[in-house]
Amino acid sequence: MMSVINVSRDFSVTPGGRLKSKGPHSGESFRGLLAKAFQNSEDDPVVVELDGVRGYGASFLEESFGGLVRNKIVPYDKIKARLELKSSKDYLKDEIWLYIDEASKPC
Amino acid sequence: MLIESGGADISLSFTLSLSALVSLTVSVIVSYCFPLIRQRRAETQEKLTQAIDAIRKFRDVSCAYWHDSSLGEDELLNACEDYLSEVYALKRRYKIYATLAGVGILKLKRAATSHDDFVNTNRSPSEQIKAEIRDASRTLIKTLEDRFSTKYKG
Repeated sequence: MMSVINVSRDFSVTPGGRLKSKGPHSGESFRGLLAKAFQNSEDDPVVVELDGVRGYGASFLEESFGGLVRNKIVPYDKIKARLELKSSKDYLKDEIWLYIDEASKPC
Repeated sequence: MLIESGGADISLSFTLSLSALVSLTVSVIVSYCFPLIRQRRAETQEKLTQAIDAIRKFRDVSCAYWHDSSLGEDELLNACEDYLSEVYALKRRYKIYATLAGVGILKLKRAATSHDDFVNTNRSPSEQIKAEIRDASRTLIKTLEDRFSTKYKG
């Protein structure tokens, strides 16, 4: 079954920061939510609705989305096949895919 | 003789038609294309100025954020949305900016917001981060201006 995560409803309207130790609504925390959605929905799409929050810092986006690949939580090809981003801002979707692509490349 | 005269008439009429065509073409270029190019140039310049202003505002707000740790990130995030919206509008609307790479545009946002201490109320002021922000904004502005001046020389 398809999983839908609405960031403002299911996580926070003020997401921010990279690590749990630095703030309550960090990328590391959100990554846990994403990981669960990927595990629960087998091969179905995971839809992330991004609108409705005050804004996203690069540290939050990199740690949550890039961190899925970098920490080998979800394989890159599974993310490419199943992740669907919804936002009124094209640049936000571009940015997230950039972090996912970068995390898949060897250092 | 008659044939030769007919040939000369045809040739004369052809020459006249050709010169009329050339004159019409020149007149269309002068009265229609040039103003259109000028209008396009002015329109692009106006949008470029808006984008550069938004980039500079983001640079200033982010430098203030990394200078004074008592400041919150709301203003910075708003300024970030503004600069990205403006630059992506350029990219969408004008061919000269269509090939701008997202990674280059986002370098400025990353310089200001990719650090572990972003959004941390106990962050330390950082001269190094401020220098990175200034450097990234300078590079982005230069890229935008260079594309404009290459297209609209003079």
